[in-house]
Amino acid sequence: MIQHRDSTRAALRRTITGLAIFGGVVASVACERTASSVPPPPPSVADTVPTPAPAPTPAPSLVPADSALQYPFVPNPARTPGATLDVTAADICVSGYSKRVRNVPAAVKREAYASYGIPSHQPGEYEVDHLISLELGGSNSLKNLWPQSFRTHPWNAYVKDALENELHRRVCAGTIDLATAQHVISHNWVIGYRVYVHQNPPSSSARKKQRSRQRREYSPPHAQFDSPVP
Amino acid sequence: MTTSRMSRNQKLTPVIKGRTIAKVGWDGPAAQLHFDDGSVLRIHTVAAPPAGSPPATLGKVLAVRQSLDAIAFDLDGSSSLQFALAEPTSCVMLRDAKGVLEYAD
Repeated sequence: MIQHRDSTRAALRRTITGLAIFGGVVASVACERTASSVPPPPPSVADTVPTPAPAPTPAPSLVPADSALQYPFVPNPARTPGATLDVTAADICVSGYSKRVRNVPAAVKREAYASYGIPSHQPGEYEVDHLISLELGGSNSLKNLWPQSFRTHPWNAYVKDALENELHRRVCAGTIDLATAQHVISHNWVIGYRVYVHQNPPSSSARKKQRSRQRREYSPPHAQFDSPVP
Repeated sequence: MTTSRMSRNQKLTPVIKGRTIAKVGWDGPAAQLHFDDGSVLRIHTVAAPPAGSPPATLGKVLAVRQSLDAIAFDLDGSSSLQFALAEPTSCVMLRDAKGVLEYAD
């Protein structure tokens, strides 16, 4: 069983590397680094799990169904390749880091919705998500923002939060470098989740419980001049 | 520039209010505002000013205003220092004298 799990993780890592090469999107660089400039993860530090020898038999279906590799589960890489600020692990691992980053202006959020053809939405239906989360050095650039649904199943904004937290924890523990974490989450967060968090997403009840706990622990940032847009 | 739509930047203003801009340098299109306490604010602008432009106004910061395409620093003496931003976001970063991040956008 353990051997099977190890071979599964190894195959998922190979898949990520393949997608990274295939999915490189060149975006213009103005104020920040785009994900395409983030170096691919070095194979030796991609995970703390030791890399086993190649499995003698083909791994089972590791990559999610094709539908999970497309919007609305993951962003359109042409519109949202990901973009980062010029920060280091030392910057992001300081308590309160994300409170030092400006909130996304409402006009930019509206543009993010428009770029995905969403003229209107219900409260609680979407959030404008940072593909590379702020806690991983992601920027407020439109190249890093996309409307992510709370309601899609099984992959949604609640599930991505768990990956963001896990990658941040690993970066700050020194078990993965920041560039690798940014690469993983920007190229396909669903696969990243299956490699770094769990092969399957949590159940709906577990997600709700986790989200309500996060909300209780969350202290809102200082008021901004931008009007709130979910 | 859409200066008429500028709003006070509520996050950056309290951080740098009272600091004095001692020098403005340029690194390509990136402006670098050096404050008297050693902190440096880096701003990615549309373009560096042409050679021969008058020197930037210096002084103590009272407030920061920002729109999608410009950022302005209100200084004492009713003067203002304004820059055209390269992008609506992700263009401004402030580090203290030790290099610790104080603000990013």
